[in-house]
Amino acid sequence: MAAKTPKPQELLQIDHRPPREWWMDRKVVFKPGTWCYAGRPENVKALDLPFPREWSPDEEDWKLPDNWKEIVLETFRDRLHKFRSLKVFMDICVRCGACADKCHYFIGSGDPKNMPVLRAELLRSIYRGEFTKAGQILGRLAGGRKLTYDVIKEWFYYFFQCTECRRCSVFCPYGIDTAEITMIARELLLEIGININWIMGPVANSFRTGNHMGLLPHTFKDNIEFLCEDIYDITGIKIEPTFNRKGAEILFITPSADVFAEPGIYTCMGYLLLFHYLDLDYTWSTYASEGGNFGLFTSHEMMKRLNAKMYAEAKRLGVKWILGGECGHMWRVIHQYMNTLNGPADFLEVPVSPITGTRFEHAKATKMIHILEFISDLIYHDKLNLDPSRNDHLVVTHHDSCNPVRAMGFIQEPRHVIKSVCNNFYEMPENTIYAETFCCGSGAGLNTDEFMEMRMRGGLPRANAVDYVHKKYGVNRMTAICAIDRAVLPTLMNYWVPGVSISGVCELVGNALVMPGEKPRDIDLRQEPLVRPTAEMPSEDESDV
Amino acid sequence: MFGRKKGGSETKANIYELLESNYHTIVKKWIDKVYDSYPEDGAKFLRNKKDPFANPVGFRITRGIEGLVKELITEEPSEGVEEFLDSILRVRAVQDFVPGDAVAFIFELKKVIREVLAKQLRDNIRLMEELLDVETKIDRLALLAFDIYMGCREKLFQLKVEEIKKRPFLQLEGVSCPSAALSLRQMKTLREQLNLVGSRRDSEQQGH
Ligand code: SF4
Ligand code: SF4
Repeated sequence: MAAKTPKPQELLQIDHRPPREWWMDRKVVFKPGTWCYAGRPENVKALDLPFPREWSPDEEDWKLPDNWKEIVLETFRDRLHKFRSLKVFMDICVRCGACADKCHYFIGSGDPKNMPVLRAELLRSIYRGEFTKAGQILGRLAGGRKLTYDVIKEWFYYFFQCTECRRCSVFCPYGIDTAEITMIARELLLEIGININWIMGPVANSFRTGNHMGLLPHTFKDNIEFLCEDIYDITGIKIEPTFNRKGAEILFITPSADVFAEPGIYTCMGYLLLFHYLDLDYTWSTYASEGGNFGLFTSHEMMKRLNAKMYAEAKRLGVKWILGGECGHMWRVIHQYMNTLNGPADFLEVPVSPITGTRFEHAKATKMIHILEFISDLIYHDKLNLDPSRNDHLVVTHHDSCNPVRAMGFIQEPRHVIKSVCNNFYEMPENTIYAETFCCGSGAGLNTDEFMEMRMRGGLPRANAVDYVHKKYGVNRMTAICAIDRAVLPTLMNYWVPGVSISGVCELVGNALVMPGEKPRDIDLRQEPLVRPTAEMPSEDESDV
Repeated sequence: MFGRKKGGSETKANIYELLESNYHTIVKKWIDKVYDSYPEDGAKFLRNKKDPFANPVGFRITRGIEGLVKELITEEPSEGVEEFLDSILRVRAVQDFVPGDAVAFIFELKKVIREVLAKQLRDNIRLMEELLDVETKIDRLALLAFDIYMGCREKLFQLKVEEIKKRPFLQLEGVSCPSAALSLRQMKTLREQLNLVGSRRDSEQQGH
């Protein structure tokens, strides 16, 4: 990752301006920190995907199959036929530039090929050059070019520098969705054995054991029980959740990171407390133990395979409906693709809240609702005893995670819940929230450490807005309803805005929820002291928790 | 340039007063030089987009440069200097620059000042001498810039290591068995307890 030491003649060069060239002529240089490691052969093999092998993007030879070009063009032709949207996206862009400066990677890097319009053009130019008459005859004049080895490398570089966040599509007058273009480009690359390990690993694990981490059933169960022990220490409440219980009314599915990794585990403790409070007839599953679906970042086929597990498990257990935790892309898959991939889920019932009787009609195809709409409905009906002052040590802002906000319009529900469970809430500037929210810079499978420089560039617009509310209002906590956010934003904050921690919304719910029979509370779910403890004696435990 | 008729060299003002009266020109020219280090389309965006939230890089560069020029003309720079350098270098430390190019913009300030004050400096030995003083300050600024740049790079390495350490056990190579992971967790708890005992013992010993 270390930057290379320049040669003396480079040092002596006075003009630091980068050279001017036509974008098609500029070859990609694989600098450390801007690309992800290649998929390991054992993971690729586990998924029956083509051409498992050892290779590395920074090496000259990518060990592609001899007929790579045929394969790519054939797959491209097939997808153009299959997805009408792709054909339309290839044809209708008028290069108006409205999307150009909306991508966090362009904003943070200044690299023109990170402009969404140019990112899409990487694929579009091949479409023109290989498939359209004008492009075949006029070549560059018509914006076309031929598919070469260098183009493949360029695709890999830039389509794995897109988090499929869809911010750009919000601004396109034609509704062109560059994220969908990236998805197709990744599919084309996959066919010739090009993908990244940070995606292949979780997908292979999910396929094998049901979750990204590869946790086997007893580990999954043990971890949730560990969390219950912590809950007991903090609140004095004993919780005994059930696993794989047939006949439960509700199946609960959340990202496995909530079960296993900080700070997601505190969000998970919030879920556990809430379900106990409501005496909900629900079960965890050790088979459908992952909400996240990295298949979305791999191919349509893979997304379908992984999504199917959730529904197969719901059927096996005979539940009525599914409740989903604070995940990002799980909701994009459910909301935008599930019904055509694996639906409709006729064997389930339209979700009805057993506490309030609210019928969630909008989920009638997928039979799955978001935990925050479930909670928001509870609060609306005054079913929760909440003490927001138990979050008084926190000054909160909320990051709209790309997928829930742009793929399902999930804007007000989290805010309704947050404002009901804490007293200090401040919004970030309006061109950085709601549908215009800035990505964390690490989504779509790019949340790995070898991609750190690019992540910090891409995350700058988000961090910059946090910095503003941190300085202006003293914000020290940002909530995010996405497990990738919870995994990567702490690092982002650490670099750009130290002093702001990250959590899910349900962690704050867990802090505020007054449990019948609880012991006086002097610490929050992270075991950090409350501003106004309800315990008689303030905690003397100064040990490093 | 030399040998022409004298012009403007009679000024009585000292270099700092001159810098101050040319503050806006210097800031603008220096910012332009920083933007020139980005690819053309990127630079265009940085230059033209004024909203601080839509263009955080431009915002941080502008804030940094304005602050640095202000610091420079106050003769005695304050601790604010570090903050202004950080504003720019934290960005450049994660962008496509080799270390030299990341901090090179500091030296551009010398060029900018010589350009802006060219008329006044011509044949004015006193001002030239004062300028040397300013340039020495700029050299020091460059050293400080390099320290800050390195600090940012170190932070990046540290963040990488922290992420790898925090990575759930099962994704680590070699630990593919959950019971091994569990015993690792137990070991961790044990280690924490031992550490606690250890630190208690240390403090007791210190008490003696
Ligand atoms: S989807 Fe997001 S990351 Fe991809 S080009 Fe658009 S704005 Fe950039
Ligand atoms: S906003 Fe839409 S039409 Fe305009 S350049 Fe971007 S993708 Fe093309």
